[in-house]
Amino acid sequence: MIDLFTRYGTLAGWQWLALLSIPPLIVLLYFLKLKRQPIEVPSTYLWHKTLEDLHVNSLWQRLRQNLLLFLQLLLLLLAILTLLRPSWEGSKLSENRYIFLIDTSASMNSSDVKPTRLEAAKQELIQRIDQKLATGSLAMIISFSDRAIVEQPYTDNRALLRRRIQNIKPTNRTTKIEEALKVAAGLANPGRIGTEDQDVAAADAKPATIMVFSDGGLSTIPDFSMGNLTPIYHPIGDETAENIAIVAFDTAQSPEKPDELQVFARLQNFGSEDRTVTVNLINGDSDELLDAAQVDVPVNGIGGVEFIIGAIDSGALELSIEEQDDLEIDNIAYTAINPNRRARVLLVSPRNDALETVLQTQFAQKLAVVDMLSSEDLDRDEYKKKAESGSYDLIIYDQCRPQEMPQSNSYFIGLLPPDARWSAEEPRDLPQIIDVDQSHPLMRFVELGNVKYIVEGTPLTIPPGGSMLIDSHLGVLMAIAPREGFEDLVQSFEIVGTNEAGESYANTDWPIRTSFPIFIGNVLTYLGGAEQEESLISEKPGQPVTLRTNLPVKEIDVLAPDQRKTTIQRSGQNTFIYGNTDEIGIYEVTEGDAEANSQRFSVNLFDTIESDIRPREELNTGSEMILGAQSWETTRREAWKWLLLAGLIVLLIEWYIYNRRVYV
Amino acid sequence: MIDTRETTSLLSPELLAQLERLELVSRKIFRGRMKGERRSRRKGQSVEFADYRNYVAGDDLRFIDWNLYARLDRLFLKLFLEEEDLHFYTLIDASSSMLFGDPTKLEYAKQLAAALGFIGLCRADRVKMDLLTTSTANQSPVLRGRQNTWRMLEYLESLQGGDNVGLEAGIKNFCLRNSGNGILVLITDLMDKSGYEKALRYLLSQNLDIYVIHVLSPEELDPGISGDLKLVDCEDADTAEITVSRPLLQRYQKTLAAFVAGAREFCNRRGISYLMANTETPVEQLVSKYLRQRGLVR
Repeated sequence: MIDLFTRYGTLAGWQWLALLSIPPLIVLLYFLKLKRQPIEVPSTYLWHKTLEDLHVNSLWQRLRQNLLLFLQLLLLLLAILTLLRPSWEGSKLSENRYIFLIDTSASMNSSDVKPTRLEAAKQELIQRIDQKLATGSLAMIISFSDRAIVEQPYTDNRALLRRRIQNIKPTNRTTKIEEALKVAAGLANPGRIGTEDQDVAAADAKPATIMVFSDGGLSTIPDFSMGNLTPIYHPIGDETAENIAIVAFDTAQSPEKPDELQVFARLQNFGSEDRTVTVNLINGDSDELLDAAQVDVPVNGIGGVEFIIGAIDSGALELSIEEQDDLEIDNIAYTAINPNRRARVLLVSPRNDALETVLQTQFAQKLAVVDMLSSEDLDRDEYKKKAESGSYDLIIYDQCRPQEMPQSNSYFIGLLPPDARWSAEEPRDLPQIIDVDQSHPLMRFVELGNVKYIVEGTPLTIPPGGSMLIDSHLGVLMAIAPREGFEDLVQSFEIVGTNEAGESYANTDWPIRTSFPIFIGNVLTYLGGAEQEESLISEKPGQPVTLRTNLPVKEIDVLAPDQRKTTIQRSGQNTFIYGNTDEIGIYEVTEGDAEANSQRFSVNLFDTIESDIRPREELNTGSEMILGAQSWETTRREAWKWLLLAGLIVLLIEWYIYNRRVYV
Repeated sequence: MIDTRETTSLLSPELLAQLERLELVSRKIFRGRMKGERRSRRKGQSVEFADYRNYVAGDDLRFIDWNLYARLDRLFLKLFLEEEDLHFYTLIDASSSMLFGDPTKLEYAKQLAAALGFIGLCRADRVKMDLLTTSTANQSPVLRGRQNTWRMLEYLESLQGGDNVGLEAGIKNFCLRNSGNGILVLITDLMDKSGYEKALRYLLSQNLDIYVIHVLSPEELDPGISGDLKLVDCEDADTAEITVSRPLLQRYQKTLAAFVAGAREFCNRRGISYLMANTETPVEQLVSKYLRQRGLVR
């Protein structure tokens, strides 16, 4: 019975109790209402006799005599019935399926709806499940940010649904609803199986109603059709929400003045009026205020700010907006400044002026520390030890080859690696380059059209998993293939050749073309893992970060801003993948047993769609618009409930006044 | 001869003149203690002949009808109706409840008692006024003869109310102290929570010709009250909480009617004359009209 009331009515259980306690209260007041006036009579004998039979069922006698009280109780009953919102349950509802999508992205942390939008959405969803979900209906709960989590598969257990909803936690992530919609569509729009004759549905379609509880701050959803899903969108949030966000925060070394560091930030106003805000730049290590500035940010516009501070070799910077607004997490941004990471490269070569020259340019020096060995040194223990321990990121073997493959990336020029998978044909004269795979990072910006000649080249057979980089009319001249977490680049034509007389000659004119230093730069960057920029890594919350270490270590520790420490194992090729980036802030990386952190990276929201917290009235799924459905419904219901309550109070007051007037 | 003091507040001269012509009547004929003005069932010495009977040895020779003996030569004894006086008791309830009304019920009761007593005194009856009380103090005098009218009135005047004695206890006390036959007029409002039945049964055992005059004030007959009230009993401070409404007043009237009818029924079944008196009814009217109809006076 109680379930019936709470399920179909508009009130929660305690509200019902409060309401039902009013009639007894009125009866109570009726009995307590007045002090009786004492009056002396000869004898109460007859009065007692008169009241005697009244006492037998005096309550009913008294009630019967008071028409007013009866009318009040009747009115009250009617009022309660009105609150019950009597309706009939149609058979159509009983088999319904509902999928509740609840947005947990960063913008749902906005406090324009108290306490937060997510809490409001959860409350509304629980209320909906309590009151609207017909018996036998199945409901599924999916929370989504940049990924979808099925919090609860289809069930008709309301308690379970409520518990699951309560457990939904907010995230700082961006919004991508596609995955959630695809999960939701899985049952409603089953895939089709093609047979020889016809194509049939893989399963029976199970139509469902999707209810999206979101503020609508999501990018348009391409390439998705609702099919059997009926979408209903419940916008959460206040139209008047104000937010100013830091949408970019970056540093750059000044080219002219190496002792200065430029700090740039961009602010965007997603509110309804122009604002001037104060931003503070703070040294994240010492919490020292470095600089502050006033920034004018027009409505829907951008305000920029630039600070010039003394160069910092490594550290963390924090930029914060002083003013409060409805979304806090984009009021603060972090950036980490790491010492340059240079690739460690070993060049093993009898002599190659072209290559050595390129590796000694300022550009290359910035990217890599290059050690050089002569090809005779390959037999020495010193080399072997270094090659086996993986001390180098990249070893370039020019016109020579080792006994065994090194524990690092390799670049073989002219000769094949000592690896059975690689094979080649006989050397051929004058191959003509016909194709370059410029989509590969190694060949980016490398234009070989102006290479006039290659004297001699050996067509290669690419091992499994490898890919062609330079093709000629005679066969593949350059290819790359993976090897146990490393990659081997093989160039089958020499740059500097040695003829039978032992004299060296230029095998190709490539080194004098612009593309050659670019290619070497790509090699150092891609195979050596060098970072060209000031090494600023800023990731979005929830995105995995790929980390490289300076020293070859087996594991690293990452300390998150909430002081959570995670140890990660190496995942091949001296890289480490860290995925626990839900918190916004600076993450510190400690390599192996080292005590101090060797590098840091920052996680910032930097997402204009998330920061724009103004609730959208509709969702655009590309093919169809989902209009917001809930706003008018809620306001109507709320006002109606409160008005009726006010009416009840007025009635009680009127009753009281009426009694005072009559009897006192 | 009428004493000047007879013209008190209790009895007006007009009433006195009216009362002089009345006499108390008992439906029973009682043996009086002294010779009075009324015939007794007992045969005895008087001037009023009643019957003859055969002479038996030992009879008083003075009553032999010698003329009859001369004619019939047989001895007959002449029997005469004896004339006796009448014992007239008035029992007044003087509890606090009798102090209500305007005039108070007690005042009304005194007037009534005075009127009836005066009738009795005029006819040389033995008149005794009594209060319902358990104390032996303030015993009323036994009066006879018209010349004692002023004493009766004086005594009645001196009576104060507020002696809250239960009906039963008061009547029991009366019965213990007075054993004579005669007429008893009980003037009360019968408002006793323990009931009047037992009390009246005590009186029935006394071989009295009993009249119950039930005095009620207009306030009791038609209470002009309204609102939420706490009624306090003046005798035992008992309270009754009521909310006056038309149905309640109707119910009260019903209860009152049932109470009066019950008392009347109880009395009629036991040969007690019952008369309900509203204190608004003048005493002379009550005596000359209603009591005459009841046969107490003629």
